[in-house]
Amino acid sequence: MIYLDHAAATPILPAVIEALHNAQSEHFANASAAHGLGRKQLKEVENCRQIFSKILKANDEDQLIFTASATESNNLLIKGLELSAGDRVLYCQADHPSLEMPVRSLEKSGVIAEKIELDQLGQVDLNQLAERLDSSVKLLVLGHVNNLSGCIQPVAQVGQLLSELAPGAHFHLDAVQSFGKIELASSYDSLSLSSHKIGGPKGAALLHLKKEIRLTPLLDGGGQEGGLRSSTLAYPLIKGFSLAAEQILEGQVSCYEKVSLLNGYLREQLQKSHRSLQIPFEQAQTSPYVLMFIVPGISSDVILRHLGEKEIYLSSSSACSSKIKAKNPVFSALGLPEKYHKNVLRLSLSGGTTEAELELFLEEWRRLIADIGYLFKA
Amino acid sequence: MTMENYNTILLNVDELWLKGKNRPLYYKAAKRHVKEVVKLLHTAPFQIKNDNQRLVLSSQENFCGELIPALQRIPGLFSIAPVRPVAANLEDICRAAISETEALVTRPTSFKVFTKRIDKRFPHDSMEVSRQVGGALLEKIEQLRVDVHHPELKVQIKITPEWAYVGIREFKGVGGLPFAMTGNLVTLLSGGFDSPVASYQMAKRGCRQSFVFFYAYPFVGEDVKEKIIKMSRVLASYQRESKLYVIPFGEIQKAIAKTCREEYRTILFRKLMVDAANLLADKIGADALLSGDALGQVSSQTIGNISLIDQISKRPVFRPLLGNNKAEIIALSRRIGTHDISVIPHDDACSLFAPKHPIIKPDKNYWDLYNKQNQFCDALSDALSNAEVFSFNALGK
Repeated sequence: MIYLDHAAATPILPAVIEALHNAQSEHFANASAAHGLGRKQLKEVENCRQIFSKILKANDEDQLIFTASATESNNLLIKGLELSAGDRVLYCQADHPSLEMPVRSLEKSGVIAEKIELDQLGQVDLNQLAERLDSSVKLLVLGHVNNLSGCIQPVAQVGQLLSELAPGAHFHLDAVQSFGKIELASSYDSLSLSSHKIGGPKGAALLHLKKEIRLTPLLDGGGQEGGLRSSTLAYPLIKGFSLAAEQILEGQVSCYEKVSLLNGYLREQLQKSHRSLQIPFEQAQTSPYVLMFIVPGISSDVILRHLGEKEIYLSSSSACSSKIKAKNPVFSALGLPEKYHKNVLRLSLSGGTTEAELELFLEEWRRLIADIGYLFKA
Repeated sequence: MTMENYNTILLNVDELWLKGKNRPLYYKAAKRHVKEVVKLLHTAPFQIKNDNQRLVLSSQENFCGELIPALQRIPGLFSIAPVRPVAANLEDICRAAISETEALVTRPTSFKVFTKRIDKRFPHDSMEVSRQVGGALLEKIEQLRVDVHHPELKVQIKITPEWAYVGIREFKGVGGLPFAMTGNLVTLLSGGFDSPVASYQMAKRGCRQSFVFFYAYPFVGEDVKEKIIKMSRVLASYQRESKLYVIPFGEIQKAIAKTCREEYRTILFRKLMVDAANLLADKIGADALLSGDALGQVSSQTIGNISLIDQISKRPVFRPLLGNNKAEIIALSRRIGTHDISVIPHDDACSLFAPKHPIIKPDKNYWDLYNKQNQFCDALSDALSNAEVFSFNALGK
């Protein structure tokens, strides 16, 4: 099997599996219980929180809330701010639906949702953004690395523009695809992270709230996580998540170098494989972990199934929206012509991806082109 | 429909009067199909008798509501009427007609009585029975009047030596000829509107059909197969028993596309599908193929292309929709229950391979040469032996 869909989910790290196993079998108590076992577990959860606090260079007044998914973190933040009718919220349509959909849901209460445009490089058009900013903008949500294109957003510049032109606005950053892979951003007011993209288990995520931001919780109940996320603390998942975070950061620099080389090689070889193949975004503006390319004329599903038969797995669009046929608004936002929307493929790598794996992939890829390449249409 | 308290159903047969000496065989076939359907929906014992050109289905227990629509799909049945059997005397007939009418939730305002006196020894003639029953209804039920032209309520009375049957509802069947009486077909199914409607047309003509789908995986996804299975369930509900053969065809399409002139792709796919269907027909003993072609609808359905296919097919290819317009086909698909499945979007391998300008008037020399130089016998028999087979009962389950 050759797995090249790490941006959707990546295998759990061996050390994390072991930690999960231990935590699941031994730490069964409820962390909110008053007895010794419960207290011990709560302490363990706080240790995990400390790990993230250190990683994210959080201040004492910051809040770090464990949730079950980055989708939940994004929803908690966007809906929890309780914006008022007439407030403007900026979002990018190319981002993950867990950013766009909660923003759009605010429209019911009179909030004005506005799309941010991207430039040809797939990055936020800063000039245009500057024109849009004023004190009526209360929130801007953005994905640090786009999950489909891999484009890295100029977070620092966006943050600066916000503080200059819309000082009261809240800047929420989704760092799901960037955490542990590229340099951490700092100019945000809140940030979401997800465990299963970095070698941790599914079902754990984090929301980092800087300063004393008041949120209305999505869930009412036992009042865990400072009242912001009522639910029994999933200690084993949190433990696995924090361990994965430590490990991925430890290897971040060396993996980045390695994956950059692999990405460059892949680009070169893919481009060579067929003259009609297109790679819409340059390596310089993208995360080396994500590589989007277009095979004109053949539905990407057809390619996925052919490769799937050889146990090679990649993705045709974000796994959460891959059922969409024909026109895809996310691809439109990325500036891809509509005629290519069914032809988009995404390779996503991890620090563990090897050159040998890519060679095997490329071998099958060339064989596939020899087989059905005549169906490609420029 | 509610079937409260009905344990007797009259099944009027269609066209069987045409069949002369073969008539008993046709009755037997219709009866067998009915039996199969009733068995699947009715757990208590039941019987089916021939009774003067019709079948009488009866049981000690009342039948369920699902039975009527299932019976409506049995080829050879003209109509289905739940009835009340009563002693053959005027008094009981009138009483039954009144109680049936009174039981209706929405009271009709106009009615007409239809009487058939099969037992000519019955002391009153048909006119007299209708008059008497009509009089009783007018007397008992308020605001009811006779309308001989457009009655809201039709009260049907059939008088046999044994019983008089009183009924106020009659449901139309698909009519035609009973299952498997006219021959065996291999039906080429695609995901569209046409082939399912063609299948229905020939089901009505008493053909036993085996469905075949050419599955171009990995050029199409598994959702297409799911769609075809769903479609086959509907079509199978017009047959006593059915099989669907899903034949892997991706490799063959790929091989054709690689070796032929681009404009010939579609017609050659067509040829290979017909070849494969004939091979299957050899295996299962079918007499002809069935396809949903409508003349000129797409390029593979020109007279030139159709005649090319007919020249290579070992068996006749039935095309019951040749003369139909698309709108007519779609309207019929709504009626027979296939429309909502046909509209489900699906990948189509043929459109992936579709040439820019498909051949409309094929060059016979090229065609012959290609087919001589490119034999797909082994690939076809491989594909056939790797076919997935699905079986369906008379309810399409």
